[in-house]
Amino acid sequence: MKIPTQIDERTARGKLGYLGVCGVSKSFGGVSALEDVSFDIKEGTVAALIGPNGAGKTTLFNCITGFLTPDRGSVTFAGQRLERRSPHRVAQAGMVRTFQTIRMFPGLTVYESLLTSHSRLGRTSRTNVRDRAQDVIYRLELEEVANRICTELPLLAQRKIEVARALMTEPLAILLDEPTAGATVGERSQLAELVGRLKSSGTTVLVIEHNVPFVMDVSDQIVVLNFGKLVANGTAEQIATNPIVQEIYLG
Amino acid sequence: MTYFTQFLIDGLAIGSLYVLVTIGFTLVFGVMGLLNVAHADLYMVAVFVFLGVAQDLHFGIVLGAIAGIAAAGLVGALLFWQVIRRIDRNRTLSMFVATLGVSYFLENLVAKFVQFRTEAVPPLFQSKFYDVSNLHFSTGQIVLVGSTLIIAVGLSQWLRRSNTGKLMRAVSENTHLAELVAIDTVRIMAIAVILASVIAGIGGLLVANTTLSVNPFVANDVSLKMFAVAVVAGVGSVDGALVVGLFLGMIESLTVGYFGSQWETVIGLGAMIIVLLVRPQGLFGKRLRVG
Amino acid sequence: MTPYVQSVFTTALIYSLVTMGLYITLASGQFSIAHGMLMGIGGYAGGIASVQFRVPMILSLMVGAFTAALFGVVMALVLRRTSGVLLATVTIAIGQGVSLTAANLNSLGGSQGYFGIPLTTNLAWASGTALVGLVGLLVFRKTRLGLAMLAAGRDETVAQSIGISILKIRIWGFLLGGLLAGLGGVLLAHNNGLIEPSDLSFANEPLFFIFLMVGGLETPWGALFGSIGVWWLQELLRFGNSGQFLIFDQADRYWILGLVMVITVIVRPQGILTRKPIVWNPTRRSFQLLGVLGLFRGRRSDNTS
Repeated sequence: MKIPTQIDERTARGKLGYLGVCGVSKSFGGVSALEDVSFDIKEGTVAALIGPNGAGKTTLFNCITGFLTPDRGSVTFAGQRLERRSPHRVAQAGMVRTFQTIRMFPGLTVYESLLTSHSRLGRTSRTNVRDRAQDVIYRLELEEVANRICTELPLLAQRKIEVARALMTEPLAILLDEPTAGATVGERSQLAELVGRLKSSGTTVLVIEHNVPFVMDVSDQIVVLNFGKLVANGTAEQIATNPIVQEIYLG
Repeated sequence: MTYFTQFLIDGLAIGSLYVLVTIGFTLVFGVMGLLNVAHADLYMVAVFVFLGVAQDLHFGIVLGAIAGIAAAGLVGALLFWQVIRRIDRNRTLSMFVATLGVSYFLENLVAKFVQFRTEAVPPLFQSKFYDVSNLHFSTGQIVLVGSTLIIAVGLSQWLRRSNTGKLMRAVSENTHLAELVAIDTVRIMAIAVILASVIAGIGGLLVANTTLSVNPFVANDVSLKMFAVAVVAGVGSVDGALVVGLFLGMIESLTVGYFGSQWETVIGLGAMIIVLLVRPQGLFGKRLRVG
Repeated sequence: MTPYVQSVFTTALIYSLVTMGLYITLASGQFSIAHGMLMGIGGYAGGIASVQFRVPMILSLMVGAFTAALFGVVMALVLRRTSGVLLATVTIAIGQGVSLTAANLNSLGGSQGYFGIPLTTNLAWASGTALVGLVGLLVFRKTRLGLAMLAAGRDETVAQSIGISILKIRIWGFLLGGLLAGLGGVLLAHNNGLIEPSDLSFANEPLFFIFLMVGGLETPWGALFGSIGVWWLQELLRFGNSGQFLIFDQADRYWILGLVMVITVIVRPQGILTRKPIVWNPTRRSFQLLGVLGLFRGRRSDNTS
């Protein structure tokens, strides 16, 4: 099956997908959830955000995507400042996220869920929403379930729908919050393949993940958080041999 | 100055009504996130049952009052077990519409029996009227304000000290978590609804004792004040409802006294909108409980 | 059609407009329930336009719809930090407050209401306006904004995450709700010859909810057929004492309607009519383009590519 790529279109417009987190701090009622976290992600790469429970991964996601406003620090993306934007304007800037607990639109079919998404490019988008939905359905192999009610589908299909919904906005970057939570080994490898396909279509991916094999498999870069602080940032090999990371995960 | 004090005294009595209706409503809202539109109707039901038992059936004031309060509790229990429990808890809209239907049903059923008329209510006891340095007040008013303070403070202390009260606050904080630690949330919610209904019933009798009349659709006007007090105080806050309710009653009484009755409703509404703009969780609310 | 049947249909269609307004506001995820008030505001504005300025009916309708929509938008903006059940609470209180305030404003006729409005409304006006409202809603649902509303009405957080502005959806929900309720109000005022403060009161709200919940709250058709069906039901009940129903007399119809509403919500929470999903059919793509949206979109993409 032919998988349409977006990379040509993007380079034609000369925009660089580039995500920079700089000195982001956030505390809740005096308890610090993130402290001075900084890292960069290159365009078109897959980065993983790992760390124990309560390390501040989802808080960081929320700060990047506008669901929380950081106390200090900045988030830049594709040449734009994002840290003070509301969630929908972050999405319009080209960065779309999924949620840790799957959230489907109750009562809507898969196809309808896709139609509701606004393209980031608004009315200037070259494709109309129905054509785009058709593309996404083929790309994510959702033909069989396109007219089924989302909430009645199995977990893997729902994870795919979340990604499909995000793709409908024609994003530059996708942020996945624990996509393999509750997935079987077989489903996990399918999701890994999906991340690989997103990457090959030129989309930047940032993924929160607990599953170490999955992370090692898909990511070009790994960012490790612990107690709200950045403890390591590097390639999979560098992280695997990093003594501090080993201590966090083993000791 | 005499006028001023007189308006304050009258306002306290009016405010007591707001408090008695609001504390039950706000309790149920806090515990289960339910906007119970039918809550103020329980007040009306209690008074009409009192009227029927005490006057039409000649059972006397005491039995009538007991029957009225019991009826409010019974209707509350039926509302909980037969309507609310049958609806998916996540369908907020359905829950609301169901209580709206119950409200419409109760009002019009009662209205049918009394031919859509306002009825005179016999006093619970013979009120004495006092004149102290040109200030007028009655034992009815004193009993109303006193009972309100006792009920509101009692409820608030009960929520803090008793086991059931503490569980109720736990459910209100986080229903899901409460279920996980094996609290019987359904029982707690049932207790909250019935308790709220009984308080509304008592409130109805005490207020009717000073107004000496009731009509089947009184809830429409009472609800407005109830919502305003609950929102300004912070939905779920019983202490807040006591303070705000009495305060609103006095402010309204002063406004009506000095500026005329057309301004009466504007006060509550204005306060509500300002609070929502400045402090959406309410003056005494810790956080928003939405949905 | 006898004049009686005509008048029943006229009233039902007037109410169906308000119910459609309720439908669209609820569909946008906004738990606002002041449509009785918006209807009344439309009625006052349209009535004043007809009486004071002697404008033709069509202009009265516009004035009423515009005023109510404006009021709706102001409400949406003022209450933009409030949502869910709390929003419902506040809108009820506002409706009730505005009603009581209108009763105290002598320039609006006080508690007697605003009199002397010409009796222009007839079945043609009512059905014409209801048709415009229905078609407008059906078309709107397929637009970009209508589809976004479908999402925002179900999960605001996810909707935001895919680039939908909740404030925009909310404003449109209140605006369209006000527009439709306002049209209903103008027709009502010109049907009764007056508009009263009690028309704005929360006491009317249950009626619109009964229509919508019984008809089906996921589609504008539900609002239309719910209004017509339930209004006929109460007309039948009204003549209970003329021998059609032996056990009920006409004072019974309201509590019966309340009971109907409670039972409907428990047994069939989505109402009788349900929304027809938009079906993906890859083999019929070209036909879909003939839709309103398709035609528009098709032309655009020709221009740009």
